[in-house]
Amino acid sequence: MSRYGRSGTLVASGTPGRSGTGHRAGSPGYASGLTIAIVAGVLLGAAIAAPWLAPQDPYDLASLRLDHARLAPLTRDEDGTLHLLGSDDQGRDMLSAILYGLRVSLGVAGAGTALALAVGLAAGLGAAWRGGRLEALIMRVVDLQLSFPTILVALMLIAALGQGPDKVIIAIAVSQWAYHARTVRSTAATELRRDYIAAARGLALPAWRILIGHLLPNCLAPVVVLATAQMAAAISLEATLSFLGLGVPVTRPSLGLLIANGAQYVFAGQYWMSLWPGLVLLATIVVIQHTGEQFGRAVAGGVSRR
Amino acid sequence: MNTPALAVSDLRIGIRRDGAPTIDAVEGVSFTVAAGQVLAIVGESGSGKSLTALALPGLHQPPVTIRSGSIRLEGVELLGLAPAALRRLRGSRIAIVLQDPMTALNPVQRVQTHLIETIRAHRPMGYEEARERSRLALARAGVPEPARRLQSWPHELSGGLRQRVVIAMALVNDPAVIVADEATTALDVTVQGEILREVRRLARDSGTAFVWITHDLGVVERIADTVCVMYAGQVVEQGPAGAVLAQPAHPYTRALLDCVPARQRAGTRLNQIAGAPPSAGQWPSGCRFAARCPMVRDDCTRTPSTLSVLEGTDMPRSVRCLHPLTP
Amino acid sequence: MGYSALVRIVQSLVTLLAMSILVFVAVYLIGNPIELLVPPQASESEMARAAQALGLDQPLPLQYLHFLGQALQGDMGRSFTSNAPALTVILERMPATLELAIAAALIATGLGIPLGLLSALHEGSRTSRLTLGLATLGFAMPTFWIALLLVMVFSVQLEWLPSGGRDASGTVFGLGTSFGSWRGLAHLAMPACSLALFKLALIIRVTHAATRDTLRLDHVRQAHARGLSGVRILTAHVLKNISAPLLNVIGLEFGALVAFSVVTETVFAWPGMGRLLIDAINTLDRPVIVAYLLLTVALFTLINLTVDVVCLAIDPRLRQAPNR
Repeated sequence: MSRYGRSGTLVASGTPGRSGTGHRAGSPGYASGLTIAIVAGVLLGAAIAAPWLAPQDPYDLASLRLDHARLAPLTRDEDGTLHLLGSDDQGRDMLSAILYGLRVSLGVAGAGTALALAVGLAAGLGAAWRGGRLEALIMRVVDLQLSFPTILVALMLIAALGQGPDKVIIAIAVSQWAYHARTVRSTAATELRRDYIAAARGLALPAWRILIGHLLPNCLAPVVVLATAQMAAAISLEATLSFLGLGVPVTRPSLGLLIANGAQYVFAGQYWMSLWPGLVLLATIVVIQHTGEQFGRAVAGGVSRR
Repeated sequence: MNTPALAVSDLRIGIRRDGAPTIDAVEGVSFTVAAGQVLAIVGESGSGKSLTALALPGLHQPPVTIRSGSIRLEGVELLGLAPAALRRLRGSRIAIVLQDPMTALNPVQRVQTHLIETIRAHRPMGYEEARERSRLALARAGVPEPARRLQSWPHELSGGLRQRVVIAMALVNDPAVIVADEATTALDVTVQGEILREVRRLARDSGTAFVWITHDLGVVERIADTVCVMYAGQVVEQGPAGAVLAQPAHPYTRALLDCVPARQRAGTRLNQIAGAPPSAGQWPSGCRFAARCPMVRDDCTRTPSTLSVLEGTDMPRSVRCLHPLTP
Repeated sequence: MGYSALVRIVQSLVTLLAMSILVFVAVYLIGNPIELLVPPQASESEMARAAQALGLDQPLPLQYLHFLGQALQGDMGRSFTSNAPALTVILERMPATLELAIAAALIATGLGIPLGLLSALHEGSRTSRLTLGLATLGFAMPTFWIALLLVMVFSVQLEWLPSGGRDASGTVFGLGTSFGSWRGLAHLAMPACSLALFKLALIIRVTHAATRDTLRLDHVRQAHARGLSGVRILTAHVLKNISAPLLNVIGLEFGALVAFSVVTETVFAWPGMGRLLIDAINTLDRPVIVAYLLLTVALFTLINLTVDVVCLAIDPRLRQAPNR
């Protein structure tokens, strides 16, 4: 549609400090990098170890008591259990709900991103390898889709497929595959002109071996960078859909749904039900975006050294 | 005219990387160019010639700094001049032509916009008058059909034409000095030849002084009145172009001349200078060319060489060598 | 120029047609609306009659052609739930959404472009780093959460601004709009700001990156060498160069603002068409969903087309080859 990269590419090239020199120990960049790494570790650890860390199993509906609902942070209920972050309108302990919610968010977003990556890789490699009409067709579809915002594509899919975690995963994959396909195709098209591909062809290797064994590994670096950025977008998308009530079911809330559940009480000044999951969501997205930018810088450095 | 168009003396340019001490990349460069004269500065990449070129109109950017010396444009000292005053001289009294004509023009502005804005940045002038002046400048720079080319977009022009447009931009305000940094390097040999002829004519007709930076001795031979040969941040030899090229006094100048294919007998192996020049910050303590010099003697690696006037010639020549070649 | 523009227009029409098929087929896959519309104890024949009445018994391609024919005449069917014409239902809500999107776009570009420019001009300075850091943070904040934070601070804590609703009692050129009165603006402020924040961050980053890259180009150095003033260099040799890519982003992002207003409207009870879409999805109100999607798709296509044509006017290089 247009010869300029649409916002996708521009954002990637807009990462601040790409031109900057590497972080040295003692520089502010190094300190913030360390903070990010620690936060990333804590978040990932919390998501994995949620069943052992959480004071309460938020999925066990029998343990939820409505008379323990909407307790403020740092209060104890009548049973003497301390609710560090308060409790929500169902009587769920917020800390437990957030730990489990983080799992759902990461799981759904991760699965969606992985699926988008797989489809995008297949489409991009296929387009670059076969060329001709198939390439023209795929790239036309990619262009078309990238000219519409992801949220609209996702809403359309949810409208068509219905709700549920699996539908959200599909919606993420469908709204994101085009970014991967575009990146993979352009990388693969460059790589295909290189000598090692000619050499592999000269050896009369079967096409799949050239594709999988030679082409794919050399296309991965930019894709990994993109996938990381897309993972952050996927988390945000899942949270948005869940917030709108079009995502995961209320019995297994993600961070987005927790925020939605608490939203109505914000107006009554009971901030904690929305604030805490929101902070965790924000931290998660920042950490993943930052990691993506670091990958991007590393890859850019690698390319310029080549 | 008594005051030279450009007089540079003892210019010292440093590079300051954060944390590290400042490195002298260029030192002790002195030359004068009179109106209508062409001075060529010749050297390999890394010799400091491009740093010198950019520093003349004050276009060097951090980490590059001018540490000491003097640059006088028509008698006016440029070093230490306020940025606004320097800006008024740039493009009007001293202009520069950069190496790559493909990127020197803004792709989203027409040729005439470039020229007209250059005029009107320095004097109040009506649009039509400025446009006519621009057309004349294009014609002087040898652009065919200048009236039509005013309307062109940069991408519609060939490399040679673009460089002529850049030259027209440089001379549109009749500056005293035009600095050209490898201005013809990216062009075809035939186009290069035409442009060099144009430059000679401009110097003669308009009295513009040129400082022509190149690595190509062939170019020096065709346009230069005087020449400065630079090596590893220093001037190693300077003097009238004809005399220096005919009878080089520095082994480096001689070696450079030996590398020009046209000067060699057919069938002989093409010469090249063995080894690589030292880089800024790693200057040897003695003569900087000693490691590559075919005529090196014991004292060369110990004693720093100084630029001194060459005796026994009727023209003002100087050379930085303990044992200069004699005719 | 004329030819290139014509090609863009034809491309846009094809896009629109393709999207209409896609939207129709996709939405057709939604569960059976009959089950929602008739009482659960209805007999098979009653359900068949209801299906016939809504034209749901026809084969899909016929339904599409019928739909397309009707749509071209401005008839997109009647809402299953309210029985009002779907297009009317949407159009009634559209001004509120557009008003919100325009306000957000004004905030995002009005602040984003100057901030991006300044941060690139003073690259590495403390303010530049702070601006970019905040942009990174804004880039990570989900729109709905920002909206809630604003409510927490400005409605609940400070009680400065109303927490929801729209006041279009003031008029501008005879049209009822939030821009027409202080009360209207007070209602608009938080929704517009929360919607704008993400785009603001994006535009700061895009402007910064584009400016920084352009400042390094030879033609800018050449412009300095010609003694042009700083203002002239900035407008003629930097801003004009980045305006085409920037416009592309802004155009696309305006579409995204319309789409994302779904979220903002939900939080602030803003009576726009986004909220309508969510309700329609929940009630399987097929004609309303289709009408919404087609209208937004048409809007995006129009914006993209406009941006492409304006870029053709700005950047002569784009006019060279008819395609790619």
